[in-house]
Amino acid sequence: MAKIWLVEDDQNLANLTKVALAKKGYQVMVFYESLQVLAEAKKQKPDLILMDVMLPGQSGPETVTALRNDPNFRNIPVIFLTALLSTEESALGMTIDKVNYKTLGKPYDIKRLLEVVETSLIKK
Amino acid sequence: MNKKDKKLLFVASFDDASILRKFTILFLVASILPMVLLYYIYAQNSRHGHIGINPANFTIAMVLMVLGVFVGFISMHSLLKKVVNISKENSKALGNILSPDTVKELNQGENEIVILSRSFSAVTQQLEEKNKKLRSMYELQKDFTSMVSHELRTPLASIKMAVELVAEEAVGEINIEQKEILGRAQQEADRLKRLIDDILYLSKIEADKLQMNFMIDDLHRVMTPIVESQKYVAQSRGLYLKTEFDPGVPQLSFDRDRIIQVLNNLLSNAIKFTKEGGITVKTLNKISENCVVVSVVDTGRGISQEDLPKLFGKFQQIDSAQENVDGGTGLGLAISREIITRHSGKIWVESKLGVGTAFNFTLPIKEIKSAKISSFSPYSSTQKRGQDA
Repeated sequence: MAKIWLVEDDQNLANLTKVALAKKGYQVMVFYESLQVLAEAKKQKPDLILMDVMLPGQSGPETVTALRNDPNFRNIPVIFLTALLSTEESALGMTIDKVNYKTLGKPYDIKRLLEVVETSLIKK
Repeated sequence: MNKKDKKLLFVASFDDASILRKFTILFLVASILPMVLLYYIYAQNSRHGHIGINPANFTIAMVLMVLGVFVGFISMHSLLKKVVNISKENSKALGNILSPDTVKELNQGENEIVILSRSFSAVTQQLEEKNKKLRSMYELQKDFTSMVSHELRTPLASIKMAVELVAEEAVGEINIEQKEILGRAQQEADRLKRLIDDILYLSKIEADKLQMNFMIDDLHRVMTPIVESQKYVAQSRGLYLKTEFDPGVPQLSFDRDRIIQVLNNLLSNAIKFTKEGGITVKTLNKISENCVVVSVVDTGRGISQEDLPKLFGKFQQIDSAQENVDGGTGLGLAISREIITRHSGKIWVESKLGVGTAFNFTLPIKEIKSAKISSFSPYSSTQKRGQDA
């Protein structure tokens, strides 16, 4: 049962996404802001991170950059969730520090969400 | 008034005089004075018996000089007259850009070159100020667009997810009636999603924020797969979809993805509003106007003359009930128009009630010198970087 960290500041969306993933058997931990993630990162690591782009305080990309400083987190797949791009734009992914990350544009279908999560975990 | 003041006044008024007047005075002084001097010297010489010059030759020389002066005067005068006219026209045109008081101030005095240079400075200043205003508006627009995008999409994401969880029976079984009702909610949520996408897209194009990627390409080769994919939809509604491509259409410079967007929009509209018969996609090389005309002609019910001007407006729907069922956003044509305008083309509609409608757009034929040539690949514009196929 893969462990997924979901970093999303909108509580409704976070809870609904957690339900959708949990029903498929994933263990989901929800964080509402960057500091919580970085604190937990010192104790354990997940198999996959779903990261919202716009967060209070440090943004999603900034948080990922900070996490990558830890060698344990260098190979954990990260998928960005964003409301800033259209479906067309999010298909191109997001590039941070010359690395291209998959992006899921909001609103996303459960089907699409599960597809992307599955593919990322297999790759790992 | 003392002598010094009079002298200053004369110099100032001379400086401020019309360039034509100044030129005439200066030219006459500069040309006639030496001629008078020359004649005086000749007259003195002949009186004292020193005839060094043949009188006849001297007369010819004088005549030629006078002619030269005359021709020089006429040509310079007409040249300066043109400058005076430019200044007058400019003063008239300024009325459209600057306030009447400013224009009056600028036109003080009679020296046309001074007036012209004053007005150039004033207009440049105005343009700089307007540019500053526009730039800051664009920045605001960009932030507002991002805000709107985020604020609208986030709650919509929750709504869609909640409906989908129940509809997919992830949280318990539901009956057919419940499923159907939730299905409608999902449809509307999807429609809202497309609407937000279209609004933001249109907003970006209008704010000139969308980069067009012009490449030299074969229009027919780009259009054919789009027509083929829409053929299936047309045929499922019992309509034909054919092409009449002009073989004389040359290579053109255009943004492939945007033109595909326009074509898809026009085709889906045509299919939507045609009940029998079908749609023809035509291209024509209009040499006389140095452009290519693309037409999407349908045998639909047509559009009344009074409705025609409204079509390219935002959220304009001719038959709202029908449009809603088919999930249109009402922005497709507005977006298409922006795209074609950015291509320096025109887009227009011709229609006859009961006969059909033709949507047409033009793409200019530009000189192919340094533009990029497209290496046609079906996947080049929709590369899914970082994603598995």
